[in-house]
Amino acid sequence: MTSSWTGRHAARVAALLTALALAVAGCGGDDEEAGGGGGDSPSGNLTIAYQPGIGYAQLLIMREQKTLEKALPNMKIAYKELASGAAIRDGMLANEIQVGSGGVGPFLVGYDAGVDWKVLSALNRMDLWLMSGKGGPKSLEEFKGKKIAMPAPDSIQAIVLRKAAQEELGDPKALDSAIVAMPHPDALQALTSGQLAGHLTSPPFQFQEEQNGAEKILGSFDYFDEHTFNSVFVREEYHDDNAEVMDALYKGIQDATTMIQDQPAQAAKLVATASGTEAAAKDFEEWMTREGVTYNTEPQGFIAFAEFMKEIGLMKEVPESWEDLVFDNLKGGSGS
Amino acid sequence: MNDAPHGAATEALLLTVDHVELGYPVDGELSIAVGDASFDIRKGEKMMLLGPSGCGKSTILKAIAGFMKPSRGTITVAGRTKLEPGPDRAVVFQEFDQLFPWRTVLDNVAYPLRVTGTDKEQATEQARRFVEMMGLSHVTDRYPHQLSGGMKQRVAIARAFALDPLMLLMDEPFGALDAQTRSRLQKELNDIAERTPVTLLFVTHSIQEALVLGDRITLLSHPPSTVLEVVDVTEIHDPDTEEFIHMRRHLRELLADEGEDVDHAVFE
Amino acid sequence: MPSSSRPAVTEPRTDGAPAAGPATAAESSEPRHVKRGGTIWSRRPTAVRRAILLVGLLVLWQAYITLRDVSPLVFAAPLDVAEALVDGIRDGRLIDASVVTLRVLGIGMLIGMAVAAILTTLATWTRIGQDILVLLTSMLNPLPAIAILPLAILWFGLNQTALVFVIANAVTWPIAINVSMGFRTVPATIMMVGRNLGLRGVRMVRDVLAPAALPHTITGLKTGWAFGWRTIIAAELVFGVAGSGGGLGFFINDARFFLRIPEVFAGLVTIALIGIALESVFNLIERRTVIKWGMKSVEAQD
Repeated sequence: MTSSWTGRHAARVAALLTALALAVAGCGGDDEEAGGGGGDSPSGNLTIAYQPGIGYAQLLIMREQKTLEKALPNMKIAYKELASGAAIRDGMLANEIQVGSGGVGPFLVGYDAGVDWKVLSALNRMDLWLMSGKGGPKSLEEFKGKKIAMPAPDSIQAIVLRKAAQEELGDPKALDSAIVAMPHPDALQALTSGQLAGHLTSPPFQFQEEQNGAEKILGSFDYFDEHTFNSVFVREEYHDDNAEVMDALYKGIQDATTMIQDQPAQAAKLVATASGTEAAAKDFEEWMTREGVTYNTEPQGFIAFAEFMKEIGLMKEVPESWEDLVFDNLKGGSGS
Repeated sequence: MNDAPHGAATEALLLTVDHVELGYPVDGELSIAVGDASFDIRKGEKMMLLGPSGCGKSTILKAIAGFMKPSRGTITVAGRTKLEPGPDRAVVFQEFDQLFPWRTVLDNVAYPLRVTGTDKEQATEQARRFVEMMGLSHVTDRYPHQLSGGMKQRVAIARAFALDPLMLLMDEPFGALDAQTRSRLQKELNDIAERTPVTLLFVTHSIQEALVLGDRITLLSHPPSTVLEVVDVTEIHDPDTEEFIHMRRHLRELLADEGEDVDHAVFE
Repeated sequence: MPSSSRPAVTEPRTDGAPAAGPATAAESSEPRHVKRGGTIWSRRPTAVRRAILLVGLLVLWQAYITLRDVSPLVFAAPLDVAEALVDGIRDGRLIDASVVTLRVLGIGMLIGMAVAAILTTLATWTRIGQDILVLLTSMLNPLPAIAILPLAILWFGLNQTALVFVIANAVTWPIAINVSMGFRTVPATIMMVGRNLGLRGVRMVRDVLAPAALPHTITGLKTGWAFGWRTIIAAELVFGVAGSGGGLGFFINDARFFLRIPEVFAGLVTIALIGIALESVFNLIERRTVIKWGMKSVEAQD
């Protein structure tokens, strides 16, 4: 009752603070699983993340064919589907995901904010459409006050919308309040059921919506010449420490790309199975070979996007050259 | 000792209780507290209801107040037999929490006046008078939780008086107080009743209290109760007199017959 | 019941001299001998103790960030958060977002209070009213309001109406339950006094039941608003409208998408601060009413 600041008391407090300091020092900062060196096949965990849609076809093919499992027998390979590029990015920052994929938008935002990642390979170029629900707005102007869905505020679609707004309406922010963040599958449903006025999306969702009576209002190629849609990116540290894994990955992507170009029917079958939707392989084949959808590994349009993003304040700096954004395996090839 | 009941009394009869039966529903049946009670109260008199515990004296008071209906018999107040609760029969309860805790002492007396039709200014003025009458002028702006038990009961009494009711119904209002406060309040009540004519029905289990305060005492039997006796004690007030001691013994005996433990400290 | 269980003063004074008021209530809850002793720490005033702990926490936080070289993309340092806070207030974005969120919460609470008032009043008057109230609260109170957001969007569309609906649902049931409890625990004597004065119906509810139930009502409002606050932030995170018109939940979400981590933290701090501020408002109301009237005991903390 009358205890004062005695030694015993002080010792207890000191012990508590020490424990606290140790705990604080000890936690945080997992060391990544580095690949093994030397002649043995690399071991450890490899998590590859992608988003819904045929924009990640190569990864889906590799998943179905177990390409990496064969090339890297000692590694534990996991594939994860996430809803947005930002989610993948956060997973990579937390060292839970080693290989990410996504649109140009999230990649550039991360790069600009200081995320230490680069593009290992582009995946495809796709014309992204703004779809208007049945009986809905016929022009961009008419979307004011209504709702347009896209995967995320920093997605490539969001940037396309702003570019379109700038060109057609004179103000990139004109439709900002119309943007609603929604994963593609959910937005597809909402557009079809009439809850949304518009959906700026990607294949195959825009094709499915078209089948259901929606109308194409504009496409991203109208504003950015045949640009890359998705790429695969990896953090620099992991890339540099795991050369074998990166080689296997890049080779797998190239092979899958070749398959899509030369044997679309077979590729479509694999993608259909891997994506687990109800649509038939025939539909996938049609979608993957349509006009406006090309699969290749060369990045295109990154700088054009960066310049626009800097213009509207989504980026602080434009990279000097597209080659700053990619790993060595892509340098010297074609790109922009 | 027995008074000549109803009929040619010179003072008007304010209240008549006529062969009333009162009970509480217990497990689907009626548990009878008051079997057959008949008595009356004259205008201006202080009637005490006295009896052993459980004899239904509080129940009778509640029925007169309108909170219960008799299963048999009638209660007539100023000619009316259908009795809803109302301010014409103002009640002072035994519990301390009969005041509104969210109103000040003054407002606890003034609000009932406003509710019953007095305009705001007059109500406040009248309330002040009665608060002063009960010796509480220095605490008009206090809240009930800041008062002692005795002061709370004083406020309740002031409230009841201020309503200028046909009759005052008091249900053992001093029962929860200590002996000193109780006897002080008894004296104060007597003083007030002398200055302000009031018709009073007072329920108590204390013979002492009944004799000190009452003009007449209606004595009830054990449940299901009937009226044993109605005694006139108008002249008997001073506890030190022969008549007082005599009457007290008489009442004690009557109650002992009813099975009440005479050594029970209550019946001093 | 509350007022009579407090032994205010003893009676020896005939003149009814002033009783000790609630001024001593707070201190009287602590046994007197402890006030003499206590450690150096416990003798400091509460505000000082709390301020010291808070500063200590901030220092630890900043130290951890600096010493462990934590990536700013993962965890922000207090100084950066403070900067983001100031910027957010200065350019108005944080204020606008707060206003949007508070407005939805406010409307939701008003609706909730109105519905609760109606339901509880009816429950006092009629048996079927009581049954309906019990049925609704037992079914809907356990349901986390955020769970009906998808339904609300389906019914009302992707707009504020859906949000208000969800908030109203979060808020109504705790309020109704507490007010109902308050009504049911009004001392029987007080009810009889009301009836004795001739009060009935709406007047009885307004002049007797409502004030008597005030301690419970305030508790209900506190609980309801707390649920509402948590629900609206969560709903906004899910709801995600871009550009202007988003609330605090959206502010945080947007900052996260663009890796403006200090802003995320600034948003969280704002949420916490508003929460604390509103909580204090309720406490102030309590002090001015139910504590002043002795209907609720002062808590033994400070």
